[in-house]
Amino acid sequence: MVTLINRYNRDRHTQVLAAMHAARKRVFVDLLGWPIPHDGTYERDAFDDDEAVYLVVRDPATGTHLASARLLRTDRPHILGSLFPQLCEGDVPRGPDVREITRFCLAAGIGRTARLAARKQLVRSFVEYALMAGIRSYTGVAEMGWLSQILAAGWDVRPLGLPQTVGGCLLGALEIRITSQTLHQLAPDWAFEPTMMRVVEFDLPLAA
Amino acid sequence: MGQFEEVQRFVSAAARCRFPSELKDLLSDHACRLGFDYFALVHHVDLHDHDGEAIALWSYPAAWVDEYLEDRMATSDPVHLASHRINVGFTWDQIARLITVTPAHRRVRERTRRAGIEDGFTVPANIPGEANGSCSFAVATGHALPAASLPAAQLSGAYAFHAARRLGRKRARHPEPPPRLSPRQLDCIVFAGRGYSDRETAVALGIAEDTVTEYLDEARHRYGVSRRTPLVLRVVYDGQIALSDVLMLPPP
Repeated sequence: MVTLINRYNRDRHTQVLAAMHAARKRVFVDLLGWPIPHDGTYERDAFDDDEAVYLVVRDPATGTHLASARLLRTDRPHILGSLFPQLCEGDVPRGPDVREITRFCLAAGIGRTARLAARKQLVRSFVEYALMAGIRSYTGVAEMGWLSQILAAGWDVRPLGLPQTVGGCLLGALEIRITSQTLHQLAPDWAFEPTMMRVVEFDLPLAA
Repeated sequence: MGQFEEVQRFVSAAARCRFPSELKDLLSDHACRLGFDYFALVHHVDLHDHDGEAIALWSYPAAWVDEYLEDRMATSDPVHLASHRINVGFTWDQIARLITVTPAHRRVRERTRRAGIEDGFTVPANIPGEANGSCSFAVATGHALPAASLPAAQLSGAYAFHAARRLGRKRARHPEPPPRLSPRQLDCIVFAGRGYSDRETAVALGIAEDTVTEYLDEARHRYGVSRRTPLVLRVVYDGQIALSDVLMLPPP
């Protein structure tokens, strides 16, 4: 089950949002050691504002957070535009049809099978949300070590500039184009089985 | 042309390649434009055993390629082994930081140098469920590694490998899909990989010891192996479980 959480329905999802911020703290601060703000329990930064949209994969029975990502508008301050514009050779892609994927987070300690299934659902929700909301491409800052796997997964991904070493990591800016064909092009490890029931629960209104 | 434009040109052209020979010419030209003399785009398998399945495109001197294949150097090539330990590009002088270099490794490096290949930069391409691979860019004796081109080579290496994978039959997948195992069976195999006995696995998973034994017996049968070590290795190789599951590393 994937829930889209935005400023209109966040008050009804405070528990799962708290679980997401706690999972983000465990993954990005404790495991990956990113130098980002946290209060010891939750990881939250200046981009977690009213305009942020979250896609959250939840256990259909318990509603627990299994995986999540934050989508940021690119016509406002966002990670690539505000913190890493130097990773783009040309202009930072901005516009109503471009969103930035940040804080892609799989809950730790839920087991391998559940983690892979959650990743598939989250990935599928990126594509479905893009198709519904008229998003043409996603941008993101990624560690370059993942590029081979992102390519092998079947994404139409292009570099936006040469990678650079930032804080010991080789980071690069990427753009992933989404079309109605994207779901069919994904490799089996990433594609969500069409036979499995999926629910994308949207609380209207979808966007501002 | 700036380096990024050169990479973009390569990325678009590589996506349009229809034959390995086209990709080889394209990559050879691209490597030169970035200031390298050679490239090698390979799956890390003994190519004697992988006729027509594995990727092997290179622009090294032909005599060196013959010698390398003849003496089956792929299995003790420190560049390959180091590339399994990391997923971003590395220069060959960093190898000693990635693996324990043995005399056999040193001999391969020494022979590579004698063949006129002085130094290089290797971009790993480790895709779950497939043989590991990499794309190396190298310079000839007397030439220095073009340090300013390494970020470009990082991108190009990943896209070159992707293009090679796409070129049909050259993929080093099993011809048959891997045997299907249940989630519970895979859990048992993860614990077997961590060195748990059947009894310990049973306690960890909260199931009967006999059930664990049964699951593992059946999995071994499906893979046609008689012991648990080859079973764990095969299941990891097929990407049904991740090495990080077995080693209990943080999830990717």
